[in-house]
Order: sequence, then C-alpha cells, then structure tokens
Amino acid sequence: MALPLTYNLRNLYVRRRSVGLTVAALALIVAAFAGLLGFAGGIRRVFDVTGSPTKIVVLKLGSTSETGSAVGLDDLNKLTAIDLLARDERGRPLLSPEVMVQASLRRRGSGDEASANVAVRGVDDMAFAVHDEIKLIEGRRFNPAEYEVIVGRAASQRFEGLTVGSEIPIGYAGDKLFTVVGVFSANGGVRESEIWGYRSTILDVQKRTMVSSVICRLARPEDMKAAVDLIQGPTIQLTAKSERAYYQELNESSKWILRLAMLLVVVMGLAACGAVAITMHALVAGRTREIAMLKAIGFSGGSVLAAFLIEACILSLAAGAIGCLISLLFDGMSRDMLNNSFTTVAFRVRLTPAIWGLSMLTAVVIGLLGAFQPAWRAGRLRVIDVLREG
Amino acid sequence: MTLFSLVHRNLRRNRLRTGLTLLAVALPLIIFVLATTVVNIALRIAASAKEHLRLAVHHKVSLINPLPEAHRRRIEELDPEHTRIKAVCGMRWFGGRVPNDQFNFPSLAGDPDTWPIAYPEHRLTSEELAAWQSERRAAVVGTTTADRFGWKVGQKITLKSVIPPYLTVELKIVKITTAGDTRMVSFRRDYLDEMLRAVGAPAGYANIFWVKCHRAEDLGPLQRQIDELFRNSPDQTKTEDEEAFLASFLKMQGDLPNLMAAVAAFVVLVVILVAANTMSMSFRERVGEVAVFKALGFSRRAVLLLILAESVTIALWGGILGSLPLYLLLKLFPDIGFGPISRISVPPRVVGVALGMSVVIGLLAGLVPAARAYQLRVVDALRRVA
Repeated sequence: MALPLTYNLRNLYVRRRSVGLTVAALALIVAAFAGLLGFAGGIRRVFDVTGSPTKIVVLKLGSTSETGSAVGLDDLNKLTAIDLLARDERGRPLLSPEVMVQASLRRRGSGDEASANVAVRGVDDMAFAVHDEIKLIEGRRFNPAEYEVIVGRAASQRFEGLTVGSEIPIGYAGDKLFTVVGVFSANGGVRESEIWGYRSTILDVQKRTMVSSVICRLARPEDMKAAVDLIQGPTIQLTAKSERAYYQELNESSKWILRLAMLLVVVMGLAACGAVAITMHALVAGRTREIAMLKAIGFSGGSVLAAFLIEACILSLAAGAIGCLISLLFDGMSRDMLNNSFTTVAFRVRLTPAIWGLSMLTAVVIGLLGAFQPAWRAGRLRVIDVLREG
Repeated sequence: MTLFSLVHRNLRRNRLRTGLTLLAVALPLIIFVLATTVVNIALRIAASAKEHLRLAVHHKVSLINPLPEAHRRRIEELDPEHTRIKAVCGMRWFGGRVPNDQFNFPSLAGDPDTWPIAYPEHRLTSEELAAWQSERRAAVVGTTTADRFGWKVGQKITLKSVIPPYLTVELKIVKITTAGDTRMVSFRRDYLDEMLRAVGAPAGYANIFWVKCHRAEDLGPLQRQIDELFRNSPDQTKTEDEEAFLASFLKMQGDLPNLMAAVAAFVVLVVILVAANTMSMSFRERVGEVAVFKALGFSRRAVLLLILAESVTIALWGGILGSLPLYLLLKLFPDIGFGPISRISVPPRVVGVALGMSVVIGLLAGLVPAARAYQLRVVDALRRVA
C-alpha cells in the first residue's frame, strides 16, 4: 500500500530549511543547464538551418572561406555550363556570383568601442532565386541605381544603425553611405546576420573586380556528389562544398563552446546529486523511528522506498520549475560570435519547451540518483533494530 | 582537546554527509578553478599587453583591408628624432597552413628590420638575430605549433596560404619561442612581397602596423595623431593600444573571459547553498550539545568559533580537493588544451584564490548556524526534547 502524498509534502515542509537550500542549489543548476542548452541550441540552429541539400558553395581552389577567396570571370563561365543546375522560368541556370566583404559595426547597447565584423554580401537578382529562403519582411529590395542595402533580421537586432531608413558606411575606405531600405529573414540561418547590396556597387566601393564565391542550386539533391566532383575535377578546378558542409566547417570554432557547456553541466549535475543526497539522508535519518512505526503497522519496505523517492521527485520538480523560471532571464539574449570566415554571426539564446522538458527531466534524474541510496536504506530498515535503540 | 581536533571529530561523526558535502563543494570548485584560470590568463595577457607599449594601427573598416606600406614612413615622420617611437613594424596576414593539415594557427610576415625591436619579448640571442637578419626565409615559431609538428630550430618548413593568391612559402626556423601567442609563426615581409611579386599579386601592404613606443604617456597622444594623419586619405586608420586591440579581438571570439567570470560567480553561489545546508543540519542535530558546552562555561564566542571553524574546515577541504588535483594534473600533462587556449596550466595564484574563496564560502555557510549558537539560551535548548 502506498503512503499518501500529503505525508510527503508535510515531511518536506517540516524540514523546510534544509529542503529549501537544496531546492535553491538545484534550481540554480537547472537554470544554468537550461541556459547553456539554449545558448548551444541558438548557435547550432543558425548553422543547421543554413545547410540546404541542393546548394553548393564554390570557392577558389585552396580557399577555406568566402572571405579569402577570389573567383574570376572565366571560372564563372565554366560553372554556367554545368547542366546539373536548376533553371529559372527563363531557362537561366540558378547560379549566384557573390562578393563577401565586411563592415565594422557597433553592437547595440554595448556602449564600448569594440565593434564587430559584419558580413556585407554583394548580389544581383539571381541570388533571390538561388537562396529561396530569403524573405523580405520589411521595406523593399535595394535599387541597383542607388547606394542601398537590405539587412538580415538578426543583424538588424544585434548591431547599431541597421533599421530601415538609417545609413551605414560601407566600402574599402568605409566612406560610402548606404541607406537601409529593407529587412529580410533567412529562416533563422547564417544569412540573417548579413547585409546585402547590389554586387556591382559593392565591388566598386570595395575596389574589387573578382567575386568571392559562386553559389549554385542543383535541380536534384541526389546530384550533389556528382556536381561537387565535377567542379573540383580537372576541367573547372575550384573548391566546391555542399552548403551544409561549408557552414559546418566554418562553425568548427564554436564546437569548443558546446563541449565546455557539456562539461559544466555534467560536473554541476554530479555536485547536485551530492547535494540532494545530503538532504535526503537527513530526511531519512531524522525519521528512523517513524519509518519503523510505518513498517510495524504494515507498510512494506517497497512503499517506504517509494515514499522517499516521491519526496525526492517533489523536491526536484520544485527545483526544476524554479530553475526554468530563472532561465527565462536568459531567453532571447542576443549574442554573437566570429566564425572561421572572420565574420560575425549573431544568434539568440532560445529556450524551447523541449529544453525546459529536458531540464525538468534532468532535475528529476539528479534528484532520484541522489535520493536512491538513502531511500533504499529507509526501505531496508529493520523494525526490531530501530525500536530497540529506543 | 584542541579546537582543531574537536572540529575534525565532529566532521567524522557523520562521514557520509561530510563526504557528500566534500563532493558537492569540490566538483563545482574544479569549475571555479578552470574559470578563474581563463580569466587570469586573459588578465595576464592584457597586463603584459600594456607593458609592451605598442599601438596597433589598422584599417578603419576592417583588419582584412590592408594598408599601404608607405604608412610606415609617414608614421615614423611624426617623430623624426625617435624620441617617442622606437620602431614601426608592418605585419601582413599570411593565413598559412601546413599542407594537408587542418590545424589553424596565425602566421604573419613582419618588417625584417623592425620586427625584432617591436617584439623584444621573443628575446632573440645575437646569433638568432643574425640568422633572422641574414636569412630571408627566417621564421620564428611558437612552441605550440612547433611541438605539434615536431619542428626543430634549423629545420625547413612549408606553409601554404588559404587566402589569395594562395602562395606556398618555404621557411627556415631560426627560433622557437615561448612568448606571446605560442601558436604564431612569424617570418619576413620582404620575402613574402618577393613571392607576391613573382606571381603578379599586389605587394607592399600590411594589415597592421605595430608602433613600439618608449613611454606609456606617449601612447594616447600618438594614437590620436596617427588617426588624424590619415583622416583624409583613402586608407583611414584606427589606432588602438595593444590591450584594447586584444580585448576587441577576444570579444569577437565569443568573449570567453566574461563568460568564465559569470560561471565562476555562479559556482560560488551554488557551493555556498550546499555548504550552508550541511552546516545548518549538523547544528540542528547538536543544539543540545552546544547548550551543554555553554553550560560548562564555554563562552558565546567560543561556540560561535567552533561552528565557523567546522564550516570553514569542510569548505577548505573541498577547495583543496577541487584545486590541487587539477593543478597537479595540468602540471603533469601540460598539453591539455581548452578551446582557443592551446595549453593551460593553473597558476599557483589561482589555487590561492580558490582556497581563499573556500574560506569565504565556509564563513558565509556557517554564518546562520553560528549566529544561532551564539544566541542560544541554555535553558531553552536543554528543555527541548529532541
């Protein structure tokens, strides 16, 4: 027969000081756990959603990123001839030559001198057909006849001066003022951290002639390997990577942050087990006679064990709930980091129901792990020993 | 019976709880030690950056945009008598990798004449300096990169650049250095320019000019003067002292020191809660005992001290367990890296900070029970039935 739940609640209440301290410690650990997951998830999400199975990033042979790549006109012509590419309604191959440069912008609300390297991408109309995830959410597209740009949603939120109507300096000398005329979304991907302008204008103010990369869209994802092999082969001799592979490699430098987060979570989780065990031991030790009494009137060892585990569950659920509430403080926090292409990628700490669910689960697992040994001891108490101690 | 042995007896009374508390204190303190180590390294780099008395002059828009080498002469002309500026050294980013290897390390080409003056921390001996000056392909390599590839002084190495025009250079190592960023490979810019000209690429550019100064008070005025000098040129500059330069570079990389400082503070909070829990429990169990102590004539201060001593002892043991094994581990295996830091060792000072922090944690955790012991009325406590 099971013990009533109110028995557990009252027991916790009687030991409220010790229980409270344990709940507080566990809640902080849960909050950190949720926050780190949200942080890691925010980074990972940006790079995961960017990788389309039909897009290929083409760079100069030997380059590792768009920033250090220069593709010439003759290379471009060879790419146009590839018949694996998707075509638009006018029969033109979906292939977008793009130039990637940087602008120095301040972070919003940071107040310090340090500025971030924000990617500026020069494109033409074809880019919007190749990158079909780009959606204009405010304003209009840039007019090639003017110094105009559109900006990604994440960039607009993270950096100063990227709202519709404001002007930002771009160009080699940083002296040409471009007006922001629109804001676009890119399904939450890397390109939301970019600024887009008309390619020829960007090349001109940047004193460049060659583009950085060519992004191609394939008609069928199955052709990816064939297309990559063809482009890297002897006739074209350029570096080609699927968009997914390209961004995974660029993001290599953020992997250590994820590893660090995991390390922190594991070590703190172990410590939390210890903290719960201390309290549960005290809960058991303070009630040995009571437990013996319960057993004497007919409760089985199993139900005593269950009762203590339930108490631990209640304690951890409370801690989990408080921890999740605290973690709300981190939700939506805007951060950024540099990728291997020397450009800044902005992302948001995103706490999802899945993360909260996982945090609650972790809290309960920690609680049960910490409580098991004391609960086990309580279940095994021999009535006769305890009552004799008397 | 001394205070010390009494405290240890008390801790041994509930071995399981003491053990669990040690676990719950020591584990987070390991994180605390790691976090403070990172912060400490960052502070040390910043402090040494200050001592170097160097200004970084780079393109106003982006480090990627190179500046013409004529900038060097114009900066030098600001101080023709060399009373303020010791040397100006142009550095160009090479972006080299060892062929067929993914290891990412900085490689820069510096002006051969001024590089040894601008970077005295590498302490070239007179033979090494002579080798640097006479050998056009001379390179100075940091220990991390040298160890990774097993390079020795005198060896010839090949680096291939990942940026246009994708040059391959052959260098000869004249020195392996432990100073600065130990992944760095530095070589001569005249050699790089020669290679660039050979393939028809633009030569004579630098990404940064390091201006080595004589005195700290000249840095600020020079910084403004240099930026003013190029204000109306197509290649405007942004000049920063080395500390600010490194700080903004670190911030771009994800701002590790600040993240770590937050983690350290957080860890301390958790540990205080756990230790406070243990202390308040052991006090509750011993209320009667404390009353007896008082009845026997121990002063209020003595019982207060007793509780605090116990709390500090347990936190201090946690601190020792949390910091010393890690310290020794990293001493024995120095090649363990941590994110962007290629190798870490825990400075003895950080172990000191961790132990000091343990004492503070112990005091805070024991505060409430100790205060209650101090105020305890013997009559009340003895009347209470456990």
